Amino acid sequence: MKNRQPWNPDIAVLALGLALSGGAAGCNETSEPGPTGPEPEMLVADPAPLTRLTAEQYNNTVRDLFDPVPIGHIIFPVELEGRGGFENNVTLNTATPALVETYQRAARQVADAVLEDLPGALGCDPNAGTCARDWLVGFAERAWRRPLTTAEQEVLLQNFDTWATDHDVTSAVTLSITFLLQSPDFIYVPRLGADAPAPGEAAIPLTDWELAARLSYFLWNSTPDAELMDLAREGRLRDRQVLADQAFRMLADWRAVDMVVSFHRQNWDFDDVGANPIDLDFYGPVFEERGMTEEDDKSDFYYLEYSPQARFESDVFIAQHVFYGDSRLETLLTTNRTWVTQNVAEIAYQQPLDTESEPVSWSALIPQEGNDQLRAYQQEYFPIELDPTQRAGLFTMVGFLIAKAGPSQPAPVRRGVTIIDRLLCTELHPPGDVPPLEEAETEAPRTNREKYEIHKRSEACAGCHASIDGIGLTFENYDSMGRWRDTDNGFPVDASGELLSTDQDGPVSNAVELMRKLGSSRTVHDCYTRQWFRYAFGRNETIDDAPTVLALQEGFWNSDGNIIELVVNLAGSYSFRHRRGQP
Amino acid sequence: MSRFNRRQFLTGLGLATGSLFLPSLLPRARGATGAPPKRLIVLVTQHGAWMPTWAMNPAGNPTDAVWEQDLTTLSESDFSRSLAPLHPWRARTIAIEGLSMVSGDIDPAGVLRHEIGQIHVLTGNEVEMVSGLPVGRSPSIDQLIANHIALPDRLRSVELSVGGVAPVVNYRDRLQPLLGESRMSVAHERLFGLVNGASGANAATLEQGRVLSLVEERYQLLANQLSAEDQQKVGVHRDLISDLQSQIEGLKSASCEVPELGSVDNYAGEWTAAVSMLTAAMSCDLVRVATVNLSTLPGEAIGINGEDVHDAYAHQLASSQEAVDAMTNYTAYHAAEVAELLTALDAIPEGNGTMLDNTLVLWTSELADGIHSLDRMPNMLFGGQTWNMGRYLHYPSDTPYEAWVWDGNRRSSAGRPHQKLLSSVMRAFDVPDPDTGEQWSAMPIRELRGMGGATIDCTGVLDELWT
Repeated sequence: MKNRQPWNPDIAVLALGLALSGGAAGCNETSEPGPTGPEPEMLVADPAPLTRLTAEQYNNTVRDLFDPVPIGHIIFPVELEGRGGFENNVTLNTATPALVETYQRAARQVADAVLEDLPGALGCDPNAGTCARDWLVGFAERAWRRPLTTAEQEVLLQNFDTWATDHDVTSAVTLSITFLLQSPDFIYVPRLGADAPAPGEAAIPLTDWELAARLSYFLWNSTPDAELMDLAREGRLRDRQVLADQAFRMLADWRAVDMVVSFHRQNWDFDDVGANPIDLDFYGPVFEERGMTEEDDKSDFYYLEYSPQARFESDVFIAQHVFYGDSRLETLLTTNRTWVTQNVAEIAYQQPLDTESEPVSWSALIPQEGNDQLRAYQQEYFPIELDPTQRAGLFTMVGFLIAKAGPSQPAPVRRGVTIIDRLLCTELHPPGDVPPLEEAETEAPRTNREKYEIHKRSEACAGCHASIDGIGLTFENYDSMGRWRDTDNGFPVDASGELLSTDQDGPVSNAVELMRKLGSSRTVHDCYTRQWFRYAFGRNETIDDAPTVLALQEGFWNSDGNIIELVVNLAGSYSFRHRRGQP
Repeated sequence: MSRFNRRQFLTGLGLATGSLFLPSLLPRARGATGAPPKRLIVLVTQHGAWMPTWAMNPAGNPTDAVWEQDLTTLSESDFSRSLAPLHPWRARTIAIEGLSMVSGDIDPAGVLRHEIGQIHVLTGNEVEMVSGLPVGRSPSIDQLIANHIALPDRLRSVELSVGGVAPVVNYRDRLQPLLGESRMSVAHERLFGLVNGASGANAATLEQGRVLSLVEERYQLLANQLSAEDQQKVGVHRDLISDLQSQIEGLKSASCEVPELGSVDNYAGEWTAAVSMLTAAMSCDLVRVATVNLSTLPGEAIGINGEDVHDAYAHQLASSQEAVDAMTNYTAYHAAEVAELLTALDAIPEGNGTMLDNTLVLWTSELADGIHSLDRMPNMLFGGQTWNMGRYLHYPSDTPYEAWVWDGNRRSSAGRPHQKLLSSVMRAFDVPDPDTGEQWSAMPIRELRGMGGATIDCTGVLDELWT
């Protein structure tokens, strides 16, 4: 994954132009974040609540701190996500006993890994002269993402010397690492700000060191690299032009690809792909066509091959279109171009695959059978153009479709709710109770669609379900394995529906039409911007953030929905670089 | 990604119902009368139960009275279909019919009834909304009890999820959810990773305390620079670090037979792993309080293929006999699982009896039934020595509250507040009232308003338990 090509440099130029269009020098605070941005008095500083490294960020950080020493993957306890699904949300990030135990164990695991080749990790003979001591000072600065104060350095070195005397240098290094990695300076990412604000000013600029960490945890989900640290040391990151240049540099790195994929994974629920049980009998013919007759074979194929291949198709899709395509949201929602495995091409898309074309290799860590251990997943994905009358964008592709499906029939309500929640940012208020539904007909429903007709007959249901089912039922052409179907239970599929409460309202005849409407919808673009704001700030927006969010939304819409530009504009925004004074 | 295999599920069901040995039905000679149980295991299942196939009233007692039925005299056919697998354990059981989460019904949070029930069931308190997310606003009883009975140098409590991550029911404190760990290997490492490790005296071990106190100082220094809210977060982390030191030492010095982690690639395997880990960990006193939160059973476990248990069955209880049968099997499946746990606890001798005598098991649910009622929920207690077991307690619907129920009508009365059960369990563990230092008196919700402004008293305990 480290050898991916950087993304199209033309887009970088375009994005830079927009990001900095507020002033020639690019640091004119009064007109940022753009010509349509807020008045100066509306610039909003971030309350900057304390963020804690996510499991992903912790693993990336120790990987980068000790590169090339292999640390191994650290497994964290399960944690609640904030509503909207972002793992970095500060709302419920109070530490738990299991988490603090894990930090302790992880610090030991890291230290043990470093001991495997201590001279290699330190770059010198640990017992020679001041080798280990010097390394420790440099390491502490990288681990805490800032130089230590004199007092902090004294504590560190005094303890190191004591441990070296009482035990040996190796032990002193180990113990020092476990101290540094369990400290809040490592586990949390504090944003305390530079100096007290001038009288009458509520905003405090972040320090250069804080900006380095802010940028790197946003754009890379990892710790700042040497270049960021050097710029921070030189006091140059507070120059907005320098910061924007760094954002572009960082976006050309594979770690940014991982971050953008991670954002979409969380935002659009990729983790649900493959978590559903499938009815192996109902779909028996699909497996039997491929020569599988035993139930175990079918089960293994579906859960251990097909599902992971479908799951990571979504990752490849995002990476390719954002970094090697046109980077536009509308493309993610409407394109028929994707990258697939042979199984998925043949089963879900019923199209042959050109295996002569150049594949994208994708690797990831995935849970083993039984969900317990992790194993390396590596797969080649081949480009394919799907039938544009059947597929338009990620939400008509196999991942979303199998994630939001019952064992035999698709789940129109879950499909509809996901789109309303994640693409339209409309918070649905779940029913307080489920009223009993009268069975009006004596006959059983003939199709999946008919099953949901019952929602229309109850006043209590119809309110919400008009919009949910209006979207969800347009996906009736896709079954629980993501395959196109023209009939359901022998009857023709009716995939008509209606989009409500957006700027693109109106009837549609199927999901392809629906996705084209959503792809060109301002509502969808504004929602997507809000989601990025939540991700970048580790919190949900409040009314105070309105000027910032509105400016970002305006910028995103005017850029034709360019995702890279949006990310850069977020990183360059006033809120991103300033914290609010303590009340 | 979960892997489901129907064949294995069915095997699991068969094993759980068929391989029980029959424990003694005679009331057990107890230690000191009323001696508090030493451990607590809370089991929370989803979708409640279906009272018509859960409840037992072979004597035809009136529905409008408090009454008690001796369970030990009931034959297997007298037992309800939902609870049949627990018949062999009837002498060690108290089944409680007629408690309600009235507080949940009234809760103004406006979120799913599942979410409301998950918060009320063990906190007995209202939902707090934080950034659109419903969260608990006070500790759940397992945590209050852990604060009281946990050894300072062992794990305070352990929370597990079976069948994927189950919705959170445990709260360490306000806004501090404890999600059940769903990966059994992670739980295994947490419970047993350090035990039997006292022998070595290397530098890392010797200096552990020094490292942790240095770390603790860092948290203190950072806290001083933060907002009140963040100070509290960092304060919690600091306190946990301070607990960690003695905990690590204690766990290392514990000698414990570490159970091997069996196959955990389906629901039954995960449950069996949870049972063996908890039994082993509690028998060597690594932890005294545990919650196992059981996710919705996959259809395969109860012979349903191709349909979603939650949507296609739990929600249809009011109108479909097929759904009633399925959800009855659903509860019976869990009852068989509970029997498996009781068997494991009872197989380990302890003092004059077994571990089960020193372990109270509470089995409750987030809802009363699959169609989202909170009225007349299923509750069961097993083991321990506080109460005389072998009883079925029936409470009438005499709470003046219009409860929403499955038939779409509001009923003019509801079962008694479940806070009384929570307080009873608190009292069983001798947890003192934080205000008075006397015996536990009430959960945070002390009083509710019912019909016509009538007062609903949520304080006190279920006195009948002590008779």
